[in-house]
Amino acid sequence: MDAVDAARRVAESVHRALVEKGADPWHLLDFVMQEASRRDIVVYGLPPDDPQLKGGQAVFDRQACAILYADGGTDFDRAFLIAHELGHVALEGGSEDVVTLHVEPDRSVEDAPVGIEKVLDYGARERREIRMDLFARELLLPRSVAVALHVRDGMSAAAIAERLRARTSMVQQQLLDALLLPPSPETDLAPPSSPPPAEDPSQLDAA
Amino acid sequence: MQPSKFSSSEEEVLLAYSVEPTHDRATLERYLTKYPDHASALVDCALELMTLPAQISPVWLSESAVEAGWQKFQSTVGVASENLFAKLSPSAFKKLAVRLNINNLLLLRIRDRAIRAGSIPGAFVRQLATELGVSAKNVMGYLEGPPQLAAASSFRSTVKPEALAQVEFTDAVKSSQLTTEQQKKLLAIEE
Repeated sequence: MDAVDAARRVAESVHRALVEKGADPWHLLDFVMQEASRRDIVVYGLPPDDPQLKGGQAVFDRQACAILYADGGTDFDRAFLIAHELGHVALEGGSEDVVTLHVEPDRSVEDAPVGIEKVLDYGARERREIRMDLFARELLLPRSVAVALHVRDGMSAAAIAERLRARTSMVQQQLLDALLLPPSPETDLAPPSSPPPAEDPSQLDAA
Repeated sequence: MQPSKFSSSEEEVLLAYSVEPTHDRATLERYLTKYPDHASALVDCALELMTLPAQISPVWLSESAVEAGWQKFQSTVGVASENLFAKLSPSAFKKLAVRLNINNLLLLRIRDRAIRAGSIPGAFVRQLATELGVSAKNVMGYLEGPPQLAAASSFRSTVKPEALAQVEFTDAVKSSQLTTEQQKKLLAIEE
């Protein structure tokens, strides 16, 4: 299991834990706000040109235990930015300040470098940001949930996106990842009966 | 050659020099004066930096190493005022905001010196000083420094970070999502 798989497994476990506690996965902004609250993180939406965003779209401030995000676009855009920052906390322990300049909700998993690409095409920071985008997508709509909605309930990608008020391209990408990519040895596409244990951040760094 | 007052390692000195905004003669001479033991290495480093293309970062070290080098350099030459917030834990930071009757967002703006120091009421500065256990002069000295990126200067980005633009205290109060009551109290504070 590589770092991307590990990140997505953590995201799915967080998603399932939230649902078990009564969070509504169809209201994405409320959903991620509940996770932030559970972690005692305060969240502030700021005008995109607010200097405190430091030129980025979102910030995690370790000392203030706060997520600041550019309050523009749709609720989905807001939820994705918050989910991305939550990824830095969940996967890296939230021990450093982070400024996120750009997110891609419909990023292909192929953007996550493998093999020699890991050292040739991407810097460590780019790899982290890709991983956080994939974490965010999995937190908002785990692949196992997407597949269940599509295959079991017969919902199209557009129908899922409409109900989530999310981007159709993001839902399509999750379905493509779930249906076309080979599952990792540890990943069963069927919903697990219980959330997998959350990995220690040091294990993720090593992966 | 006089020995340096402080025993900084060569790597730390070169690191501090390499992250200086300019590498002109004055900067080099300042380092040579401070660190005569590392004169040869500093000159070599300066020559290498001069021949590097402008777009290539001269160093690639871990953020913690950069932070450690920078803090060491700051403490050695005493060029920057002490970060009064640096030692506050997240819980202490939160408690400070509560005691000041503000929220984390406004305290962030104050910490990052995103507010023009001259626009902050003196009474508020004195209250902040009391809570931090330092003098009002120290607090004012800190607030008058240049805007900074973040307490730990850890900045994960693919581009060069930019300093914050400073705003007036009243604008910061109005844009920090405080309650109406909190805003009224803060805006009513007199010098």
